[in-house]
Amino acid sequence: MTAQPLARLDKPDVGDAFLSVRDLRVHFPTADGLVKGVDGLSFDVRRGEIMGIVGESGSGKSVTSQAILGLHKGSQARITGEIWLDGHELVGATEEQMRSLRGDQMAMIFQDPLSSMHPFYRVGDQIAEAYLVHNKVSKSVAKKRTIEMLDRVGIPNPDKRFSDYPHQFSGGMRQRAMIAMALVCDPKLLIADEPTTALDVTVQAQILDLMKDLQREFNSAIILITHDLGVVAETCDHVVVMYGGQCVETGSVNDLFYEPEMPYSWGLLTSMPRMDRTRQERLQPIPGQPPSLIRVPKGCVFNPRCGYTEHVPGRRCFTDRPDLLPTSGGSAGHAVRCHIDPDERRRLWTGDIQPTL
Amino acid sequence: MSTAFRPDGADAPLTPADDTDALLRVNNLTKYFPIKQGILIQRQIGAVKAVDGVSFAVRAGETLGLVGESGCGKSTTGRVVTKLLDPTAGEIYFDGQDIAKLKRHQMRSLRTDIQMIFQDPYSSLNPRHTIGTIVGAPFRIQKTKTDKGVKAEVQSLMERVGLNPEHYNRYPHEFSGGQRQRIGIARAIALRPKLIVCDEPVSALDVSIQAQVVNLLEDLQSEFGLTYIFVAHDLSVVRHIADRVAVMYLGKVMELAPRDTLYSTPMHPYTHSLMSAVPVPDPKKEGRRERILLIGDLPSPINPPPGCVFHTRCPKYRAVLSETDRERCRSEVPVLEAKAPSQFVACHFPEVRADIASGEDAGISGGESGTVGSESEAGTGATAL
Repeated sequence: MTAQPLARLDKPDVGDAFLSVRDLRVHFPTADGLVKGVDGLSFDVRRGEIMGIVGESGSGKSVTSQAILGLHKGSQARITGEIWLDGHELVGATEEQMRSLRGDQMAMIFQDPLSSMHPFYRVGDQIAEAYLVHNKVSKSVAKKRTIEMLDRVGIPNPDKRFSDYPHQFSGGMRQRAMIAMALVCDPKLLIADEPTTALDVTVQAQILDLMKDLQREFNSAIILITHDLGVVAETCDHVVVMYGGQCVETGSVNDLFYEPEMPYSWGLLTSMPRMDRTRQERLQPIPGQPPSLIRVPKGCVFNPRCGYTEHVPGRRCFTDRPDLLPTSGGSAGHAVRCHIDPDERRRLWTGDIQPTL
Repeated sequence: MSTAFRPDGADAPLTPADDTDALLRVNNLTKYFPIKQGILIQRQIGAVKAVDGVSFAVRAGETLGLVGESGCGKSTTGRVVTKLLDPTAGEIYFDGQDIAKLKRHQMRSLRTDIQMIFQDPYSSLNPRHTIGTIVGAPFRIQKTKTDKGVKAEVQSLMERVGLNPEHYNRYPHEFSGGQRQRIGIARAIALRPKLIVCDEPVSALDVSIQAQVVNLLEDLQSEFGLTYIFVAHDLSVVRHIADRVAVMYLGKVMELAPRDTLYSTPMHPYTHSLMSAVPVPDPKKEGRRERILLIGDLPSPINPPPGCVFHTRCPKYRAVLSETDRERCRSEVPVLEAKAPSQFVACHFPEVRADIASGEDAGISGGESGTVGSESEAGTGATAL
């Protein structure tokens, strides 16, 4: 592989972040109008850190991960903003440059391991192929490396399992094989898009344990996309809550679970039944439906479902889009996109929401 | 040697299906799917033992939760109870009548009483039919008389489940996942059934929408006096909605108990590992919780392990039991019997673990809590209740 050196733009100050996404917008022109899949998203991920992205279907979680991997290139999507990976800018990179990075510097674990593996090729060959593309080694070396990886992710008899086809693996084993494939080149950034959603809880526990182990071992940066707040609490260090293509709240897991300040985050916490608390008579759902990404609500994108708009004077929720601003009380990285006065927000959380959980 | 817990009260059932005034009683229900070989002459060379001797009873107005991992037979049980599949053996008493051997045409009149809500709201609605046709179909098929005509009836149903009645002529693709599930619910309650089997009704929905549908199901239950069998893999949702819960593994019921009993004092080692695997949305508790990891994969239901089906993965079998006890697990199939009042457990060596679900340190660790066996009079279990 002879990759051309990537264009170096004026690199912004990203601190020690390994991946820095700045004002990312992914828009899809369709016959019905412009679909704003992601609309102004910014976040940083450091090495050795697990960043969770939470949100409902259609909130832009997966579109973001595909934009980072450059999977929208060649499609109709209009992408603006900047994605900095270890000093390289990815939005302006060519397809060939992206291909040399994918698998090597960054890799992805998909939700459905059966449909993301080729049914016609043996599992081992598929993993070895990824290694051969990025490393000048012989096939036997690649095979040895693959068996090593299969063993590392906990597949029994890896040398025999090398020659199995995907349908001979169970769901949990396929997901392990996917993880082996993603990690075979020691990527520094791993994007896991709902890696455990299709799995049973006992298998999910095994896979999450494995991911945490591997992350400690390889010191990689992980982006974990999920809708399950339990998984976030268990694995992540930082969280981005997405709604309607925007980040509506970001912070550490402790900020999100103990001091959330955005009504949507409150809604997520109150609407889920929980095993660790006294059983509630009734769940408190968020009313209404997620927004259309073609006709995004004016003002705050959450306003049609928000129960607290009357706490903001002058109907600003319906006219002005709130900015993502740091909170005054919380930890350093905690920022919220909400018009409600910060003191009022904290009062609502401690007074009205927290006791009902 | 009988190890059953003998309750003093006469109303506590001795076997899971022994409840004479239950709306539905399922006794030793079995469903094998044959595996055939050969092109012209097909010989049966084996069977997938999807459901293997399941017994339970559901009282009118209650919700029975069926939980377990994929492949444990919970959905097949639901489908056999509604007679969408014919059972291989066993009895299904609905309202006192054994429906297990009824033919298709004999079942038709009973379909007004037993309905089903399906998991996938995208494939369970005919894309070529309008909502009016879909929700009105039960009335036309059963030739049920309605006061103001089918259309008015359908529109009031749509309003009841939270859909706009003006959308009567729309097609399923015009609705979101949550709205489609409401359409499926409207169709299921159209004929005022007694029993509804809900097969993972909320697992395809987003968290915020899931809560809306769960609340709707609860409202309809109290309004129409419905009885639910709620099949799900999400233990938190089942804890919220079910009155009693049956935990299944490899075609068998492992533990069957009232909801609060099961979640506060689970006894079966499989229930322990299932509950400990559910991540709790609380980072601090999450760090403290003990997670019982199961090793390996689910054994094949074509050739399930002898004795207790769970012994190949059982953490207790692996770490705690003596060799003579292990021999018993390998050779003797544990019977689902009462080890504490109303708590049925299919395990030779059950033990109460009160610390599993809550994530709080209950001060009970694996070694200290007593084994509830034959002689100990279910001591720990009874006191914990």
